[in-house]
Amino acid sequence: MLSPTLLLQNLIFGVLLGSIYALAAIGLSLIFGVVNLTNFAHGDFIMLAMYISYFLGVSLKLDPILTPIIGFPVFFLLGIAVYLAIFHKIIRAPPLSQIAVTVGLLVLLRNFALAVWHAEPKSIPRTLLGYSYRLGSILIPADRLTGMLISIATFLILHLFLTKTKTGIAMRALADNLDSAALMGVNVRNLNMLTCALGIGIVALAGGILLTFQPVNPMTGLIYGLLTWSIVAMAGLGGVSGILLSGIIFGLADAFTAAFWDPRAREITIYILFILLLWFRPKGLFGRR
Amino acid sequence: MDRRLILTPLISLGVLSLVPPLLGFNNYYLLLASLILLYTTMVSAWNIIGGFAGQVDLAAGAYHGIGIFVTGLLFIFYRVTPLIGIFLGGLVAALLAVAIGYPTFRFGLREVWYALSSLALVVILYKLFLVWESVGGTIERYLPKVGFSWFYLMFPGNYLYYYLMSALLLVATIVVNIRIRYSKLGYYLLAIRENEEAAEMLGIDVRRYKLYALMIYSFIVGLTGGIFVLMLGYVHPVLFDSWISIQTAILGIVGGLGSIAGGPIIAVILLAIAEYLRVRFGGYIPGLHQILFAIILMLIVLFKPGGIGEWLDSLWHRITARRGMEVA
Amino acid sequence: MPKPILEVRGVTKRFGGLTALNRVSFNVEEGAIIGIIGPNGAGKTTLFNVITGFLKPEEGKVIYDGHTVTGLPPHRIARMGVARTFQIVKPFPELTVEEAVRVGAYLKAEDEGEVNNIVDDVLEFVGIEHLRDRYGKELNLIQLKLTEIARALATRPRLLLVDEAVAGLTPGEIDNIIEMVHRINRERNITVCLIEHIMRFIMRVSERIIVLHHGEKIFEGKPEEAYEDEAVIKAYLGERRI
Repeated sequence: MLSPTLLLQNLIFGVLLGSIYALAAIGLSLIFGVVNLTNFAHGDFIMLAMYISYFLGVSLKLDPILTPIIGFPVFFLLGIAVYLAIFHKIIRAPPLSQIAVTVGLLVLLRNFALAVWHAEPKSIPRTLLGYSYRLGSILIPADRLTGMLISIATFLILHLFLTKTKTGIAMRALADNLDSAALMGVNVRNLNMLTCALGIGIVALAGGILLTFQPVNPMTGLIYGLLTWSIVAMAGLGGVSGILLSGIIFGLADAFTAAFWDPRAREITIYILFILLLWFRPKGLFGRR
Repeated sequence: MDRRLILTPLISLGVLSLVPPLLGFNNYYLLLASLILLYTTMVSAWNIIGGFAGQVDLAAGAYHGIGIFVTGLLFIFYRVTPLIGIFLGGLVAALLAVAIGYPTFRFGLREVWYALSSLALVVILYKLFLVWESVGGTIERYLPKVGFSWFYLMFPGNYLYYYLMSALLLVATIVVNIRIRYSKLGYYLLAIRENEEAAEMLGIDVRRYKLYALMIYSFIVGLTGGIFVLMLGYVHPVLFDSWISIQTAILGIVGGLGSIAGGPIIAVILLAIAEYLRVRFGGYIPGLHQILFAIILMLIVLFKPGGIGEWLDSLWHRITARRGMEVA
Repeated sequence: MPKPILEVRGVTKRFGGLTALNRVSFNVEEGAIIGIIGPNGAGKTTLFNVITGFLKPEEGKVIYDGHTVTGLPPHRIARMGVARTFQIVKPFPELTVEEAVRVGAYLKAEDEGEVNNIVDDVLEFVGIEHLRDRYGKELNLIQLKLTEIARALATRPRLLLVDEAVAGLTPGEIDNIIEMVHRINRERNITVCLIEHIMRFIMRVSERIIVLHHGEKIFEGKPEEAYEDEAVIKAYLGERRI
C-alpha cells in the first residue's frame, strides 16, 4: 500500500489542495489581523461563493473556474455591505459580542443557502478542467493545478499590494497595532472597509476553484470555517506567506488522511491538529514576534 | 437566599406540571415539550460556563452526543439500564470536558480560540463516530425493544414520563445554578468572567475554577443526551449536532449572561415558537426558526447586550428583597 | 531590627531586547511603608508583576516571608498573604461593590458568616459602605480605586502592594488615600509597598523610598535624602522639572 508513488501522489495532492485552502483563508486572516474582527461566518461566505459559482455555472453555462470574474466584484461589494451593515458596529465590541454577532451571520447565511438550494449537495455538471496531466504514474488534476496557480498569483499580487502601495503599508501598520507614520492621514474606517471588501472578495476566487472538485451543501460553511480558522491559527502573525505555508500543511494533512485512513476522517486530523496547535503554539508557527 | 432555593423549584415545578393537562396529554405535544425542556436544561447548564465563567463554549452538541452514545450503546450492547447509563453518559461527558479543558485552560486559551476549539470538538466527534464503524457508522442503531419498563426507563407511546424526567432535570439544573451563584464558586466564576488577572490576585486559581464550571456544565448536558436518546430510540453520529451548540449559546446570550431566570425563560418561549415555525413553515423554509434565533441574537447583542435577563433579574431582586424584609 | 517580609534578590526581567529590570535587590521590613518611585518606563509595574507572579524573572528571586515565591502563580502568592491593586484599575463592571469585596473575602474566611463580617468590616474601614449595592460600571475613578483597595484588604493580606493609587485623583482625594494608607499600616498591621510617580505624595507616606531608573535601583533611603542624591536628581527630578 505505502508505495513511494502513492506518497508522492498525495504529497502533490496535498500541496495543490493546501494552496487553495490558503486562498480561502487569506481573507479571514486579513480581516482578523487588520480590522481586528473575529468573523465566525467566514466559512459560510466560502459556502455562499461556491453556491454563486454553481448558480452562474448552471444559469450562464459558465465554467466554475471562470465564475470569479463575476463573483469577485459581487463579493467585493458584499464585503462592503456586510462591513457597513454589521462589522463596523462590532469592531470595538468585546470578543463575546463579535463571536455572537458573526455566529448569527453564520446561521443566516447557512439557512439562506438551505432555503434557496436545499440540503442535497450540489456540484457543477462539468468543468473544462476535468482532466489530469500524467507524470509517469502520478496524476496532476488540471482543476487543482489551475487553482494553485491562481492562488499563487493572488498571493503574489497581495504581497506586492501590502509591501509596495501606500494603502497596503497602512493596512500592515494597522495589523501590527502600530500608531506609526504609515497611518498618518489615513482614514482607518475606509481602510477597514476596504480590507473587508478585499477579504470577502478573494473568497469568491476560492469558492469558484473549490467547486471544480468539491460539492457544496449548506453545512460546508462550518467545515471551511473551522479549516480557515485553523490555517490562521497556524500562521499566527506570519503574514501572507505564513498563510500559504499553513494552508499547505493542512492540505497535506487532508490529503494523507483521505488516502491512508478515510476520506471522511479529514476533519478529525485537521481539527485535532488545530487544537494541539492552540495548546502548544498559541502564537502560531510562523509568528514574527 | 435559602428562600430562593425552596421557592424557585416549587414555583417552576408547579408551572411545569400544568403543561401536560394544558396539552391534553397529547403524546406528540408532550414529546415536543420534553425536547424543549431538554434544550432549556442545556441553556441553564450553559449559563454556568458561559454566563458565570464567561467562556463562550460551543461544545454542547459534543457533550449531548456523548450522553446519547454512552447511554444508547450501553443499553444496546450490554443491556445496561439507562438508570445507570444516563449517569455514566454525564460522567463520560464531564471526563472528556476535563481532558480537553485542562490543557485548554492551562495554555490560557480564551475567547475566540476557546469558542472555535469547542465547536471543532463537535465535528471531530461526529466524524470519529462516523468512521468508527463498530460503535457508530452510517446506520441508525436502535435501542432494544423491551416494552413498558421502569427498569429500562422505556415507556413506549407515553411521553409523559419523559416529560417529567426532563422537567425534573431542568429544575435541578436551575437549583444548581442558584446554589452556585450565591456561593464561593459563583463569586469566583463571576470574578473570572469580569477580570481574570484581578481574580488571580484575589487568590483565585482561575484554571481550576473554570474547570469546575466546565465539569458541571458538561455533566448536565451529558445527562440531557441520555434522556434524549430514550425518546429518540436510536443512536447515529449525526446527533453530534453543531446546531445544538449554537442554539444553546444563542439562547444563553439572549437570556442574559449570568442570569439564572433569563436563559430558561427565553429558551422556553423561543423554542416553543421555533417548534411552531418548524411545523407550520418547515416545508417551505426549513430553517425559519434558526433564522429567527439568529436575528434575535444579533439584535440583542447589538442593542441590549445585557439580554432580557437584566431586567428580569432586577424585577426578581425587587420581589424577593421585599418578601425578605417582610419575613425579617 | 525587624525581619524582612519581602526580599527581592537580583531580579532581572527582559522583554526581547529590552531589560525592564536589571539585578534589582531590596528588602521590605515587616510593618514598614516603603515607596518605589521612578519615571515612566523605569520598571516599577514590572517589579510588582514579578513579585506577584504575573511575570517570571530571567534571573534572581523573590522571597516572601522566608519562602521563595518566584515561579509560583499569582493566586498562590495571594493565598500566602500578598495583595495588590493595579495601575490601571481592573474593576468587576457587572458586580456590585459588595460582591466584588466578597470575592476577596472568600480567600481566608471559613464560612459565609465570616465572609459577611469581613465584607462589612472592610467596606466600613475603606469608607465605601454607601456604595455597597452600586455596580462596578457605575463608579467613578476614586470609587473604583477604593473598591480595589477594599477588595485587596478583604483577602486579609500581610503585604499590600499599591500601584499608582493617586494618579488622576484630586488633591482632596489624594489626602484621603494617604490617610488610608497610614491606617492600613497602623490599624491593620499590614506592610505597604507603594509605587508612585509623584514624589510629593511618597514623601508624606513612606519613611523609606527606592528609586528605579531604566530598570536599575539607583537609590535607597530616606525621601529627603533622595533630593540631594545626584543620580536621582539627574534621572528623575531632572525629568520632572520639564
